[in-house]
Parts: sequence; C-alpha cells; structure tokens
Amino acid sequence: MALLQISEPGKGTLPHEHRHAVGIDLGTTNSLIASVISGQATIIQDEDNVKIIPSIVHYKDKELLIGESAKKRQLDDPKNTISSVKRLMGKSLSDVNPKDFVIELEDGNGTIGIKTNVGLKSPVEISAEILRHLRLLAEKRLGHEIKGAVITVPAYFDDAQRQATKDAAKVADINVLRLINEPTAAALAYGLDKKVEGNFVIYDLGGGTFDISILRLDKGLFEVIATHGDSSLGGDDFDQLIEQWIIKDANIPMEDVKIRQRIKEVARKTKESLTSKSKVMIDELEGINKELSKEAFASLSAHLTEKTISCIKLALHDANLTTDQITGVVMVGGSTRMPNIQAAVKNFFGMPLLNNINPDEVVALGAAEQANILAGNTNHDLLLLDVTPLSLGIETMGEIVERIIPRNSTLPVALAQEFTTYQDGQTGMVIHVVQGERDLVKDCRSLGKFTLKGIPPMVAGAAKIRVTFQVDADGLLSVSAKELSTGVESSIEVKPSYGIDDKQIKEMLASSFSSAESDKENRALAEVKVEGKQIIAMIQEALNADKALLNKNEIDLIYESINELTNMLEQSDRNQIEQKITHLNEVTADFAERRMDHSINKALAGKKIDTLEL
Amino acid sequence: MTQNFFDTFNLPVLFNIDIDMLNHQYRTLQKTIHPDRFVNATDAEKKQSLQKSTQINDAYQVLKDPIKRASHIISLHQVLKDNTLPPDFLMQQMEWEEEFETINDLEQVQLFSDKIDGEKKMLMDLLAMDLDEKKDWESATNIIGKLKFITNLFLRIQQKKLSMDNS
Repeated sequence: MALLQISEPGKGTLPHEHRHAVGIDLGTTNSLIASVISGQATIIQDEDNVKIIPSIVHYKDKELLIGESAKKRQLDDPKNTISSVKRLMGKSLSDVNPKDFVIELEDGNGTIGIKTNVGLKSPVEISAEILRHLRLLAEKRLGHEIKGAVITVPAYFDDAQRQATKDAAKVADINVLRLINEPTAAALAYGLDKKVEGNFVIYDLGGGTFDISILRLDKGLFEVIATHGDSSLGGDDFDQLIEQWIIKDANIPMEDVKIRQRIKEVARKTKESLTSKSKVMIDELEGINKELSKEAFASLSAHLTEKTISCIKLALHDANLTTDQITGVVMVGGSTRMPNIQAAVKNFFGMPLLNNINPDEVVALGAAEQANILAGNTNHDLLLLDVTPLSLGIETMGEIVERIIPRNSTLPVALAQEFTTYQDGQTGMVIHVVQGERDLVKDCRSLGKFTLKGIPPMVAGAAKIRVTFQVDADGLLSVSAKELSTGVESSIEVKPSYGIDDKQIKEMLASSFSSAESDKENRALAEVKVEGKQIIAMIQEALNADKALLNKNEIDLIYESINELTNMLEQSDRNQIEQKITHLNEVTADFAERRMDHSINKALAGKKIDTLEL
Repeated sequence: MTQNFFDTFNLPVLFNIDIDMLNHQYRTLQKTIHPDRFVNATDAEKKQSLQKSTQINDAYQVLKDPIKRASHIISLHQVLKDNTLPPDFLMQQMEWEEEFETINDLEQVQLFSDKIDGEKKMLMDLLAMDLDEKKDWESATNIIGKLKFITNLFLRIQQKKLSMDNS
C-alpha cells in the first residue's frame, strides 16, 4: 500500500512541487533507506516490515537475491554470495589481501573483479544492485518515483571510493543530490530540531570503518572542522579477534569455507550477546567448548579501542580543541553498542554520551533530512559545510608529493597551479594526482593520472598552462586546464585514468536485470522532456524576478532559446532536445552570474542594516 | 591586479579585523550561494554557485589567518617580496632551535611554549601598527617573515607536548 502524501496548499506547481527524496545509508554490513514523511524522517520498511537490509547480493544463474534472502544463501553458497563489498569500492586488487575474503577476487582492469556464477562482477555493480533494490522498495512504499537521494559515505572515503559510490548510484538509476559523510548525517539527525550550539564529536564505529568528526553547530550552520579515522577498522575486526580466539588451540580445517563461515557467524553472535550478558558460552561448534567473559573480550580488544581513542586525540588537535570545549558526543554505528567502547569514550570525554537514536538508523534518518532540505521541500535555513578528509597533491620531481589542497579544507575548494612545457613543440602533459598525508608518492593513494592534450606547440617553457583542481560539494575532484599565453583555453582536454566513464555506466545500466532496451530509450526521452520543462519553468521564474538585470537584447535571446526548446519538446528527438537544453544553459550563463552577484550584494547589504541596529 | 578579499565580505581593509563580523558575513554569503542551495537549479546556476562558493571559501581562509591576511593587505599595495630576515633574528632562531632540542620535560616545554607565544603576540601588535597605522609595507614584510618561523616553531612545540602527553 502506498503511504498517504499530504501536500501543503499552494505548493502544487513546478518547480515547487514536493520532490520525493530519500536518504540512503549504504553500509558495509547493512543498508537502510529513509524519507521525510509528513515532516518526520522515517526508515522505509520492506514488505516483511524489515528496516535493515543486509548489504548482501547473491548471484546464481538467472537468480538474483538481495538482502535477507541473499544472506540465507551465505552458508550453502558462499562464493556467489557477496557481502561487505563496500570494503572493495574504489580499490584495486593490490590494495586488498584476497586471503581476507571468502569470495574470489581478480584484477578487473585496475579495479577489482569478483568471480561469480554469472561472470565477473565489479563492486560498483554489486553496490548498484543493493541501491536499486532500496530505490524500488522506497518507490513501492511511497507510491512515487524517487527524484533524488542523499547517499552517505564514511568521512574518510577517498576520491576513488566516493566516485565509485556515485557511479553505483548512476547504474542504479538514482539521481544523487549529494554525497554526505556518515558522521555528519548522524549529527543532522540529532541536531536539526533542537536549538543546540557548540562543538560536537561524532564517534562512528561501523562494521568496516571508523570515523571521528568534530562539528561546530551555530545558528543553522553545521561546520565540519576536523575529521579523522581509519577506513579499515570496524566491528568486523572485533569479530575476527573472537574468531581467532575460538580457533586458537582447536583443530579446525581452515580450508573449509563453510566451517569458516560458521565460525564467523558464532563470533559475531558472541560479540552481540556480550552487550547484554557478562559471559557467553561457545559450544555450538564441534570440538569447541569455551567461555568468553565481558572483561576477557574487553582486554582482547583493548588495542582496537585504544586505536579509536588515538584518532580522537588527533582530530581534537586538528580542530584546536580540548575535551572541555566539547558540548556533546554522538555515538553512531552498530559497533558502538559494545559496552567496552561506550565506557572508553565516556571516560575519555568525562561526560554522558548521546546515543538515544538507534545507532543503526541514525545515519539514514539524517541523510533523509538533508535530502528533504536539498530537494527544496522545507524552509529549513540549515546549511552544511563539509571538509576534504585527505590532502590532495601532485607528483613532482623525485616522486615527492606537492600538497595543493590541504586536509580539512572547507568544500567546495579549488586551487590553480601553473605548469609549463619542458620540450619544444610539446602538446601533451600528464599530471599525477595523489591523496594522502605522506611526503612520498608511493605512500599516498594514487587517484590517477590526468592527461592534458591539445597544448599549442611552442618552444619549451613558453606555454603557460593553468591547471585548476576543484573539489566540489560532494568531495569529488575535477581537473580543468587553460593555456594562458595564446588563449587556446577550452581545447585542452583533461582525462582521468581511474573510475568508469559514462559509456561504461550506460552499458551497466543496459545489462542490468530489469527492463528491456526500448523501455530504457522511452524512459530516457521522458526524463529529458521533464528536464526541459523544468529548466524553462526555472528560467521563467528567474526572468519574472530579475528581468531588470538584463537589457532588451539579452531578454530576446533568452526567449528565442526558450521557444526553440519548447518547439523541440513537442517532438521525440532526444539528441535535439538535449542540444537545446545545453543552448539555453549557455544563453543564460551571464544571467545566472548577475543574479548570483545580485543576491550576494543583497545578503551583504542586509547585514549592514543589522549592524546599524546593534 | 589582486582581488580585494575584504570587498568580498564588505569589510574595511584592516589587519585588526572584526572576526565576528567576518564569520557572520561568511555564513550569510554561504547560506545564499552554496551549491546545496542550487541542487534543483539550471546547470548555468549550478556552475555559478560552485565558483562563487569556492571563491568565498578561499577569501575566508585568507582573512581568517593573520599571516595570510597580512600578506594579502601588502599585496593590495605592492608586489609581494621574499622575506629576508635580519642577521640578529637568525641568531635568535638558532638559540631557540637549541632550546627546543634540549627541553625534555612537560614543565620546560610549557615555559618555552609561553615564551614563544608571548613573542608571537608582541610581533602581531607591531604588525597591526605597521599595516593599519604606519602603512610601512617593508617593515610589515619583515615581521611576516619572523612570524612564519615563530608560528612553525610554536606548532612543533605543541606537537612535542602532545607526544609527551601520550607517552
């Protein structure tokens, strides 16, 4: 049954109609999808009223299972049942230890390929299956098409991991409004309705990742001031400690994947039981009869707990804060249920912890709030300012990293650097971009090489190429280049060597299990028509508001372009419609700039009057 | 011609800046033009929003930081020069470096930290006078050179303190 939607009066017309937006927590172990329904962020349940969907995909011949039904196949068919795929996102085979995985990994052209019964699958494709499952679930429950989604990522995710997540969303046919950091989403869930101010620490220990974020909340502005973390530390590591403790001194055939899977399961259950019990008896495995106490588990995992505390210290140092300047500590992620973790964090800060929102749900709920704000469904004045988690640098002589955008810079951020040619007639150049805090290229994560082509041939050193590195509000990098001395600006083409291109995404979309090819084309045409109508509506509205910023000639040009697009929308030529949309965007570029300057001046002038009153 | 970042926030060109006002203007502007406000806009508007929001972040980073702010003020009047430090300051540097190496308990580190902090504050006052009153760009350029060294030294002292705390 579709949920009843109540829309506010007067909000029915374009572009102010309610846009159904969702927040998605694409987790290592579990995923959740939420939406603001009747003003309240709510987790969307599946047909069995389950909120938490295991991030597990099972492939077999024509059969594709996702979530709980896939999880059930983990024991009898572990090689075709893929879990924790988030750990492989944006990575190459050399980044991981294949022995840590039950599934079979292969090199998939720089990224990782996972061997299944239906062929090689990439982490992006597998994540896309989970995302598509969530989207369809939400569309069914809400009774509406989803217009956009905010997807959460660990704060410590690098550019390649973020890009992979966004690619997965594209393959799942989801319009990404924004990627936001998981801890920030949690803070949103805690802070939106309460008028709290101050510095907050978000301690986020999930299944596979650990993040620490420090946020300043002040008058409707959420500012992330520092982040730290460990992208390979999580609840799974605590499970592994128990696993090792179980098999220590026991005679277990380690090559038997089914038994390994069983032990994994027992270890996880033991950890979960220890959140409420003081000791747990382990006797369900043949030849093993052991008892683990809460205290023994605490000391077994003390080094992991300590590792998270060290991260807190580093983040506080970066933020230039001490523990007594912290207003509250928010606990996020299922792994923060462990009593030893709670005790250690409480002890370090010397204050009670904020943990009254279900730690499994808090990230998705916060993402739904942000999606609702971004979609324009609320009048909330809130703005989120996030930072780059890692420094960006470029390779220079001797494989040394030259830092260009430092860690913890507020987004969006850009830096321009000038380069020159070192050979006569040189027309191309390669810029190697890396991410990380170390000084040597080999110690940082390579984001790939950007190739510049089309530099006008000149004598060595004469060309002046200004390369701009831009990190957008999603934390994603783009590189653009201009040749300054001749003005052959836009012809320099920049191509990243990592990630997947739009063509590959389209292929993945086409090869997905659902709908046939003609449906795809029809849908694409319908989408482009909606886009065309929306842009016309938006420009009409802008003209009504700020016509005074244009002269008659400029207004005529815009109307001419609108008419051309309107005529084209009557027909069914997708390419032509796309061209007209691009043209309308170009024609209105100056107008957009003037409006932006106009609103900046208005905002600054408004402040002047405020000060006079003071 | 260097862009005047003070204009960006509608503030007077002063080293002794009204930080609360700067923060307020920064927030007001970001709330107006941040890409989050243009998620449903045309591509042309999205592009503008990204550019302007980036510029405002850039200007804010410069004005927020005293040393960058001072250099920016000088750059509005003349081409920035490399800072050459006077010989007596080089001697002073060497003395401090030696002291930094020899201190080895928390109390000593704290005393040294206070001393350097005092030195920093004194130079900041002189810098404010040079920039806001005397308009002496040469002298200000020299002070910036000294402050760069002192700020770096101060940071290293804090790191030493942190590592002593941990062990």
